Amino acid sequence: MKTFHLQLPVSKRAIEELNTGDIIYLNGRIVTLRDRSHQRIDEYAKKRLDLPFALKDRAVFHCGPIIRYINERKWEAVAIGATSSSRFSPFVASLIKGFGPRIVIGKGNLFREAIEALISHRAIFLLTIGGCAALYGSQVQKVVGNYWEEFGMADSVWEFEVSEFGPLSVGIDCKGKNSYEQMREVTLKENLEKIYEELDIDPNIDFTWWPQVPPGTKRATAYSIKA
Amino acid sequence: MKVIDSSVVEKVCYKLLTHASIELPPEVERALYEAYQRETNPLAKIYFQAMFDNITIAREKKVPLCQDTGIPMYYITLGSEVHIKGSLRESVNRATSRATQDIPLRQQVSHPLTREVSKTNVGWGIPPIFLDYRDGQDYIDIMGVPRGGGAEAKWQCVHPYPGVDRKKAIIKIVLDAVSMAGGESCTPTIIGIGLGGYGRDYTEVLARKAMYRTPLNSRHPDPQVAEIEDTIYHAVNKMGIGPLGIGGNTTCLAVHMDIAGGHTAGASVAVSFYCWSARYSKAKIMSNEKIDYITHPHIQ
Repeated sequence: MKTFHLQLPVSKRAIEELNTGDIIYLNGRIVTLRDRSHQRIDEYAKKRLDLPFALKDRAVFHCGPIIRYINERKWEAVAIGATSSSRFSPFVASLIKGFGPRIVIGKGNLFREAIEALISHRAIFLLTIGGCAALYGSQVQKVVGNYWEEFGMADSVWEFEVSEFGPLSVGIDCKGKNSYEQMREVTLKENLEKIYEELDIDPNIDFTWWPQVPPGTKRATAYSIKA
Repeated sequence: MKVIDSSVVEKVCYKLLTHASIELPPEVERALYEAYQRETNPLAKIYFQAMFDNITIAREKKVPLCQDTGIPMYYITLGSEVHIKGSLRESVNRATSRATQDIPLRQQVSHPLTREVSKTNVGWGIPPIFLDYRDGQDYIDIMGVPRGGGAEAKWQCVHPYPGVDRKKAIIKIVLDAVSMAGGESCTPTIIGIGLGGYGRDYTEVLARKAMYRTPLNSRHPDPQVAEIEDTIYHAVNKMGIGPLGIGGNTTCLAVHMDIAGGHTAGASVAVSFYCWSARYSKAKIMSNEKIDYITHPHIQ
């Protein structure tokens, strides 16, 4: 576990030095993305259109912020924090391939296609500490711009100038090592085995009678278990 | 019969939503500090330190703790000896709309099909009012909750096979729900469990209300229920999910379970989560002049 203070844009070499569990503080410009903007960027990538804002030397941030509107071109960041990244996973690959940001900041997990894009483009996924929006908001020096305003406060695109933005931890590094997956697939499974043994519960039994799964989908039945 | 003016209800709703969004109840903050002390993963300890920094900054700058200021919800218990003069619905709507402007809160109540966003967090039946009633009570209990989406989305409600060992079934269903939620429910969480209450909506409300039990992590008066709470609390903290899924021995802050009568053909089990930033604020309206703010006693 090392600590790094990085200045955006970051080089390929700097990215390659980072490993899961390292702590990062970022300086420079970050751009927020959420459900509607991610979807639109995906459409732009497919049509090979240019975006009305730069992503290449920025970090993108899965976030729907709270902003105080001061006047038409002046805003103040009130609270900014990450939203669950797993729901944008299908869009992350086209974002990285199409527009080249090397850092994606969020919360939770990304899936296979997104991780493959991170590996092939030497990019990383950084985790915020979910729920710390007052802390991260205090590290915004300036709200630089707002794009696709029609999506509203949470879903439009915000560009922030940040200073010592963190702590963030490396969730998926550019070798594809994934701290969340490690927790879920190794640590959690091993621990559950022990817990169920102590409690004398057969971990393979699904006690669920309802809701059922649709016909043709497999689900273990519990009729065979002892009452 | 005591009469409370709806303008008093509006004032209280406004203050509860405002303070709940900005300051954690002291018992939640204490539980986080105790979790920090027993946490053994050094990276998880850094996470806790950031949470404490966040709590301090939000309090000092009077800004929301989390950018997801949630769907505003109000839980109100009326008594047989008390009456509200005027519109409760309008009081709640006005309080929410004003708090949204003043704090400010994120504008995020939206039409479920068109995605049209309300600028006031009022619209299409939101904020919900959960009404309850108690005989002989001459005051109004009221709680404001800015209910974030991350933890809310991970709730589960299942109907186990009626003939199985019920305690084991409940434990397994809860641990399955915790495994599926992983760190994405913003662990360490408060886990609310509902058992019985015919109809899953009732079971879900049991679980939902159990989350807000005071004192935090206190046990149900029925020793059989208390034993299940205790077993689940210790099991969940051995799972290794840790704060936000980074790994560690602090996955839940509290486990609260509540029960209601079931059907002879079984009882459904509901599991609800509140993220570590467990925001709620409670008050008792004793009269138009006297209001006791329970979780945030410094409110003027």
